Amino acid sequence: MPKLAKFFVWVTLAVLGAWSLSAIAFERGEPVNGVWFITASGCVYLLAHRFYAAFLAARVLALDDTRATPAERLEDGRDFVPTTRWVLLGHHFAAIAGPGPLVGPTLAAQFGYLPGTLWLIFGSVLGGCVQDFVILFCSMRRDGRSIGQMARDEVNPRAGRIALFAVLAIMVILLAAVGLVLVNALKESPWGASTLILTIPIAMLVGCYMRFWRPGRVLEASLIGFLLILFAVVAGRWIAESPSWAAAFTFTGGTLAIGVCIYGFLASALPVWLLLAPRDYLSAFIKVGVVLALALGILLVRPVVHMPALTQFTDGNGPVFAGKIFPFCFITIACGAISGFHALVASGTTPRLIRREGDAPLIGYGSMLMESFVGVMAMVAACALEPGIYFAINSPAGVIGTDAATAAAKITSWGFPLRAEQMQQLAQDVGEQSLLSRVGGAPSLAVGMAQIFSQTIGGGRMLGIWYHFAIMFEAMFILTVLDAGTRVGRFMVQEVLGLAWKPLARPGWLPAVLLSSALIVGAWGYLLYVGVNDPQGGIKSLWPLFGIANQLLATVALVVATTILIKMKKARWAWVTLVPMVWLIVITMSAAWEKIFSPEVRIGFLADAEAKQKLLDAGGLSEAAASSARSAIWNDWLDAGLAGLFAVLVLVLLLEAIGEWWRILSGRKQAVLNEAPYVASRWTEARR
Amino acid sequence: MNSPRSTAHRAHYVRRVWWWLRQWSGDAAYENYLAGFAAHREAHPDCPHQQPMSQKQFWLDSLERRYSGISRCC
Repeated sequence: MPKLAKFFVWVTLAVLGAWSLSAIAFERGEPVNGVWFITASGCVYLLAHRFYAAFLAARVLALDDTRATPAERLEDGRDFVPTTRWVLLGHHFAAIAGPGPLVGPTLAAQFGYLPGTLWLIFGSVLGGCVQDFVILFCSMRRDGRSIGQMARDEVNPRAGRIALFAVLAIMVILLAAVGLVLVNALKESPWGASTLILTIPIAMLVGCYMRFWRPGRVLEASLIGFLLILFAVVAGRWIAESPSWAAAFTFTGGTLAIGVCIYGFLASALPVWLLLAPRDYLSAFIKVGVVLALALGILLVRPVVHMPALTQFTDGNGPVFAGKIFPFCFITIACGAISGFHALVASGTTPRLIRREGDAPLIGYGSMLMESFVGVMAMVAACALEPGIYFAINSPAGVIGTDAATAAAKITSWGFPLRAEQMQQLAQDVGEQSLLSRVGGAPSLAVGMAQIFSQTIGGGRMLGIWYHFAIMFEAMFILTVLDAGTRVGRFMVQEVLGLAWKPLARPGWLPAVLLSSALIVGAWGYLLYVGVNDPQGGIKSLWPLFGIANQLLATVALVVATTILIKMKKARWAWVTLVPMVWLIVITMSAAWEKIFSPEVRIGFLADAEAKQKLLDAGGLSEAAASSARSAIWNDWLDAGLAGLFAVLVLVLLLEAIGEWWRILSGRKQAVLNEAPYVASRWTEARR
Repeated sequence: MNSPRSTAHRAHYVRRVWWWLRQWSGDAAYENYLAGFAAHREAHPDCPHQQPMSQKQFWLDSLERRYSGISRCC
């Protein structure tokens, strides 16, 4: 393309992006169309990839296509395989995209659509994408070393241990939080629960197909599995409509929590080919397909966003979760803007598959842009609901009551009109008994998605099918995280147990496998059980804790990245990682402080524990209420301890790193980079 | 009307999409492994080498390695 034409294209994108952003940011009372969100984010992402990622690649990281990547130097056809960049982009995106960018924006919509959307777009462009890209680069230059290993090599061994501990702790919180979203979406829902239960034998059948009959034939096996899953969604309706079957598949939250724990244990202990891998393959296909369908649906339907730009709940009194817009909006939306967990994926498999260094911006920066786009679409789907319906689904029973009339009156009093019949009709249309207080974000997102899909295909008659398809899609996402996370957690626990007695570290020794699986499932299962029994819905404690933990891990990644930039003699460009790092430290530390010490009972763990202790001291509680209060006090102390521990660990790591930066920058210590030595790429030679 | 050239173009794009899908899904992993193995033997004829893994062995081996580390995010 001629230079002038290129210039014209980029200027047009910039103007369109600015126009779209102003349309969503400066609306004054008029409904905003969801398409503006797509054009605003799309234009910003394209510009950011073209200019900011290119700047990072050329100036900051100085990518070098003449340098052989580990995939080329160490090619073995197994771990190190040079892979085409578009294929690797698909792999990496499927690996980083989970339920986080769907749930976080949906919950943060209680502040209105604007804060979350801006954080999704600019947080990713300036923070999340930078983190993913720089860590991918650092790991690629170190033969695919993990974030923990890089922290140990580049900062010091203590930093490495902190990073590894942080990973394990975050994994436990994460699994409990996503487990709670799943339980809340499926409790008292025979259609949803039966569909998801049916996906387990389907996954096992697909696993056997790929293991015994057609080894490695992923496409045909996944196609068979996908068709069976579609059948399961339809069969779920038949089950829900049959009184006897419906009763058999109607579960309370507690029963589902136990079921999820048993599933996690089995997926961790059984051979991977039987359950974990086939489910993961099915989930990856459905994930990519639904994300594309949602983007297409929003463009075709052009849904109007009914949620205001800002709601009164920015003051901290929100019903979905308590806390002011700062810092809780930035904690609630983690994965769609910046996620420390991505640094684990970016420093694992992907750097061992990159064919040329020049492919890294598309894979590292580009995948995160796509993930952020998923978050923006989730925001549109949630905000396209009538706000009254959104709050009825996402507010806990402790806030809005347990019957439709009380809930409607309460939500209407907030300025979001809602009639009891509206909720009853909606529940009937989607094939549920009730949609009140289905906290966790998944059900409201599923209603939003179902409305968009049904306006494209099938109309109102298909609303129930689309709703349960969306629930199944979200549940598949979550179960994939649960089983893969539990298995990795099991390996970590085995590593720790092995320090005490070596045989416990052997991956194939059954007693060690069972013990470590039980320990990791017990840890997240306990937090899940507590969340399920919380009258405030549990999500108010677990999701912020997960957000804090995840973004503290991002802080660890950015500390390591900054250290490496300084060692590369790129201190003048270190602001690219320092600025997001400082921002993350400010928001995570503020959030951790508030979650521990806020005098507001709905926010502060200690304040809640104190209030419950006063109730106990006053006496007059029934035995059951007193027992519940005692366990709530213990849980508050546990949550406060965890939040405090994460914060202290990251501060220690930060101090360690600042000391290292000071010694290097003042010339007291020579910077030693632990990069693999330069080897010329044979493909560059071939091109010459 | 479809000219032979446009039909060829379409067939080319369909083949590209199919190729991408097989690479992305892992369907082509064993073929890639065999090709890499053959290239390695050609480049290092003196290297004492075992036989390549069977498709079944390769499948199980790749799954074990894939799910021993963090391969999925939140």
